[in-house]
Amino acid sequence: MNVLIDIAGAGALAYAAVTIPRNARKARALRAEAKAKAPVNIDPAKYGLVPAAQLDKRFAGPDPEADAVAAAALAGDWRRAAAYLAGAGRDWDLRWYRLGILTHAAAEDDAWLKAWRTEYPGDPAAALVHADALVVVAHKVRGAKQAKHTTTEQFEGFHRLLAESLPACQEAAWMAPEDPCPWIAQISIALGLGWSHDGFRALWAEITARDPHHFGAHMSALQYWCAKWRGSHELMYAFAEQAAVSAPQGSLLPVLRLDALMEHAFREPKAPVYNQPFVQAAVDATLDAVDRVPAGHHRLPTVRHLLADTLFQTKRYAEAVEQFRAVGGYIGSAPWTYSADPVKAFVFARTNTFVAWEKAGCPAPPPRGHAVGR
Amino acid sequence: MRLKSRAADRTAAGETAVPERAVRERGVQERGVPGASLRAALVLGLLLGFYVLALLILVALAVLDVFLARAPGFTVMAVEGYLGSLAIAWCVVRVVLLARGPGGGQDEMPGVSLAPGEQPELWRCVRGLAERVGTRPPTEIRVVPGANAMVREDARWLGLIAGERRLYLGAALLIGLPEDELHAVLGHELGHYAHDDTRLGGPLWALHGRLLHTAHTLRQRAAREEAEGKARAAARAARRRAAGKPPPLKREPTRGPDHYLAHVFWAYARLGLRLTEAVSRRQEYAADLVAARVAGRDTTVAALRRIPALEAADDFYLREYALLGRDAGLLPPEGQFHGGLAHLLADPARHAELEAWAREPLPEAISEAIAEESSPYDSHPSTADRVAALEALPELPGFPELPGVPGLPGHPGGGRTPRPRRPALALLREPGRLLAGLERAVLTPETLSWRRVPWAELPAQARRESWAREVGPLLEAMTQVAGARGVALYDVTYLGRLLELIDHGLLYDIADRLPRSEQAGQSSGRAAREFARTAFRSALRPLALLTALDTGLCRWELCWSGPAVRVAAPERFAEALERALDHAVAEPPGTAPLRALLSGGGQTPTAPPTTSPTAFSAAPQTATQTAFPTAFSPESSAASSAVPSGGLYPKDPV
Repeated sequence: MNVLIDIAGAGALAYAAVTIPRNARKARALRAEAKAKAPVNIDPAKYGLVPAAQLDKRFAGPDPEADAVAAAALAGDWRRAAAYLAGAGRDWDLRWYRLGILTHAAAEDDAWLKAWRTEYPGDPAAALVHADALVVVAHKVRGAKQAKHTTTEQFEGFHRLLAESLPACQEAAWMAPEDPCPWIAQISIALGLGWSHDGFRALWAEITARDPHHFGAHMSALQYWCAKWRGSHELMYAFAEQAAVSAPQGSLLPVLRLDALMEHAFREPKAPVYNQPFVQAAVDATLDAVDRVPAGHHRLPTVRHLLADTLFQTKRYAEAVEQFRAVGGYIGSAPWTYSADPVKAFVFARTNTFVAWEKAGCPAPPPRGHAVGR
Repeated sequence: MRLKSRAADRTAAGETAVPERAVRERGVQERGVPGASLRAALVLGLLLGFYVLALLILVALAVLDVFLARAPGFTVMAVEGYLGSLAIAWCVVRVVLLARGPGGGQDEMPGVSLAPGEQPELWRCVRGLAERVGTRPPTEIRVVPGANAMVREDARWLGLIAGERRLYLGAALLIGLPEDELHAVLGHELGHYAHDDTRLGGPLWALHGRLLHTAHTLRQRAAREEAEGKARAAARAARRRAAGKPPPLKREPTRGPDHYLAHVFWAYARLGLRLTEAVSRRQEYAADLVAARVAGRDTTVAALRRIPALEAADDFYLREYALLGRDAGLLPPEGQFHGGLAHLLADPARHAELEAWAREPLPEAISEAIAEESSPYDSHPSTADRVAALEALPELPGFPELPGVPGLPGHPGGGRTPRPRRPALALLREPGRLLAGLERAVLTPETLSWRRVPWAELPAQARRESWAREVGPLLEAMTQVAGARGVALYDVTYLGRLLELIDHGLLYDIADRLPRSEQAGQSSGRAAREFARTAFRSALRPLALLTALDTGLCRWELCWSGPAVRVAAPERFAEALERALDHAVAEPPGTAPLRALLSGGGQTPTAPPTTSPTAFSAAPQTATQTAFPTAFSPESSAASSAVPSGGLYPKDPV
């Protein structure tokens, strides 16, 4: 019996002698590995950045006038809203941007819109806001998730509202024949109802006949040509390329290529999207376009967000740092809004950009010659 | 009795030898059935082998330990070897030797036992057939649900001593087979008795139970061990995360002895099943021969072909007809739960379909649907193989006609004289009472407590019940709103009162009180209102249908030849209803189309709703025109926008 106890004791000791150092080694290696993988944290204040807790998730950039108009509208002052929309004049993209501000207010509460429409039943602007608001409410009811995560109830409301919005859009278009906005609003209907390519091209012809280089229309239409809606990667890239090439000087349309890259990367996270040969040229063209537009342009924040993300993905950290600084504390724009946690996505990209930039010795961005095909 | 049956058995075996040789010459894959003693030896050998396998494992472990002990010096390996062999030995003892099988004996099938005094014709038929086959008749005949027949024998002493014989007959066979084909089925089952196939039923059952139980237990234990290991690892990782430490190193999950033992015993179980089921498939061919001799070759082939079709029909009947009122808690009349199959089979369209199946091989699509894939573990060969084996035979010499056995068909071997084909149910006295008894034996007390409704009323009643349940929340919300707002309601019907409330502009008050989905609960502003509209429309629909049912505008009728329920409604009622519902929840709501649709049709149930033709005919045109992408040309867009705003929901015609 004693022999057996001795054996067991010796066995246990030998086992311990072998395993304890081995486990200790493993744990050390593991700690080192975990340290390497741990999320990097920086102090935003040190770099003059807005802390994560204070980021504004609602808007792409600051626009105090728009905020004031929306607040006034929700408080019942539709005249100010009408004047704001009319102030865009024949700058159709600005009109479309301002329409978006009013539409989102109307999608929240449409009492002011009803008052407006009651007082001026024939006002094309009011009809336009009404039509576009129906489209926005429809997409709110549907939610932004994929079809398999969307309930029958959501689809029922979505389709009912889209069916209501199409005649409303057509009525608004009939009341203001020159305005492309009622047609652009139909792009979202085309997405939801799955229009055929020919049907969509007919709609696109109506839009380009009224404004061939409309920024908002192109961003919307790119969604239609995405693989996730009715197109494919090839159709999407072709559309973006065509729009960017034919855009006049001073247009921000070159950013469409970056938008297409982002859509591709979001759908296929493993694909080497940013290694494609045209990416660097596309980024340069977008940087040049940003340099050319006036400082307060209403589309600049949207473009900068996409640009900052692409620069981060292509490891051009010095230029990315510039864009992240320019973006400031607003993150309500693609690509961050695509993420389940936009703040986390934004802070991840921003932090890693600044860390990598510092590691490289805080270089200044390379000079740009404002020449196409540099 | 036993001696006599054995003698008859021998003669039967001698006679079957002739056609079997013929079959072999024709190249049909058919070999003789091993004798009863050989089969008993096989079963016992397999059962013994199972325990021998377990003992062998234990012995092998012991030998290993001895070798380890003899090796010079003690190493960690040796200690691990001892511990490992102990663990494996414990598993073997625990699972293989100590575990109890799945209960004792074969489980009893619920059904109705037929006393010879109650059903003399059936008993006379079975006894007569048994005498012709030359075997002892069963002592009990049980009617069970389904389209299946089987025999059992409670033999004792591992099948050495014959026991009580039982015959199980599926109710669908009695209802669906002609009398001569039932004879073939009975002949087949009695053939199993004659060949003593049922003798070894007990040991065979015990063997299967033991093998499968052991293999399953080992697999379960292995799976449980793996799951526990994963759970432990997850808990550890969670603890370390909570403590702020890095996650633990991932290790390959270690597998216990159960996993490997499961492989060994699973392999043995497969061997045992293959051997015994191969024997049992040969027994089926032999029993088919007996059936062919009793009832004629062609009749047997017809029965073999008809039974899968009957099985499919019975499944379909139970699902679509007998359980039609399941959600509403309704049953067909007494005795009709199984017996209603006769209505289905009597329908001319269905009858022709089934007759076609019974005459020629099943279409491929259907035979695939029944999933007759032959596998080495099937106890029965596929119907196609059995039919092929039978058709390869010449017309068989029948068993000698025995004197004093009335009620049997004439000599089947020369049975070319056309006889009137009676359904097998004609053999039974008071079949209705029998089927009612079968229901009581088979259905659960809860199901039996459901209300009985005549067939013709079943669809309408079932729908009424389920719609009435669905509209419950809506009616409650309606009463609350009417009470809170102090609105006096004059209409007699619920729908009328609800529409009055909508006219008062209280739609959203009611909709807010309806149960809300998760997504609706998260929404706000106009989106929340749209969710409320959707929910209200969904609740309004059953109420409208209920009203249509109650006013007799629409009828839901039972149909034996097509889909189980046929709707008799005014022309284009469904589309008109959807549009009227759209109107009722539109902005502003218009209740007139719904009122008109549901009240106007009462007098002229077959006429299309003519109350507001403009509203109903204009809307779809607008919809198609505007939804169609050709509407982009300026003229058509101008034309479509000439429709007042919200063209899909035109203004109330009133």
